[in-house]
Amino acid sequence: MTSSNKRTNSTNPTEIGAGTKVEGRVAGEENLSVLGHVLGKIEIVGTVDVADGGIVEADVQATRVVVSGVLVGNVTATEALIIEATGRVVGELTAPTLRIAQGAQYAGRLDVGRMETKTESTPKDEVSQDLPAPVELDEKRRERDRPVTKRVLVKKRA
Amino acid sequence: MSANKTTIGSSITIEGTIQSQDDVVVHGFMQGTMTTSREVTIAKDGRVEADVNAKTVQIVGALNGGLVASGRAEITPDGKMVGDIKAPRILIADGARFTGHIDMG
Repeated sequence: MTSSNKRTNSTNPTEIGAGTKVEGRVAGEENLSVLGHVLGKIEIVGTVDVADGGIVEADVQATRVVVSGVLVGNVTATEALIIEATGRVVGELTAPTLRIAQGAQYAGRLDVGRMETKTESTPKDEVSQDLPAPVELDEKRRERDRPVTKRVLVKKRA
Repeated sequence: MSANKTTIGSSITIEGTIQSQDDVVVHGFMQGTMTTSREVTIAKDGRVEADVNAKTVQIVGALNGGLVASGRAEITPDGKMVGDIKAPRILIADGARFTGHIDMG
């Protein structure tokens, strides 16, 4: 699973330009950059990069998700989810590793850490280089094991 | 709007609507409707099943759907199209495949 995100289409990288709005479903097995606007659903084996200025109002499933723009929707990343300093995210996030940069804004429910479906043998260093370990693991665990009724608001300005 | 570009990679499928002020290049598959104030290129590996509305349209791959261009519509030698074309300037190259009506009005 993790090797699949190495897959790129170097000749024609997929990019939704700043002047473009896509409504519907975007799916595929290569990286996707959004500088414009995507509404609907994104299913990508690879990295979804919401650039600064880009807006995604969609449920996103991807190997890796990097948000420097705006993302509203539920996100499932099989490898890592990164909210950069300019990023703004609202929604439920599921990812084995999460990084929220200083200055980023986030509201929603988190499900971070090793996922039940993943084998415990998954080596830690498969996950990207400089990502810090998820904070307060115990709390995260409790959070995860708790029934879904509880909603958490996180606004991190480290 | 500046010269932005939207590229749909060859493994990508888009189902729905594309509304754009960019040049749009399709290497993958697009189904629905596509509108841009600039140029649409359906690349050799591109397949579009959509109504396409643009300033100019170049078909190197395949288009199945209606085409309306305010400028030029072109089907290159390898291009295939099934559908109607409405455009003031139309070029269907030797070798291109085309089934449909043409309106140059």
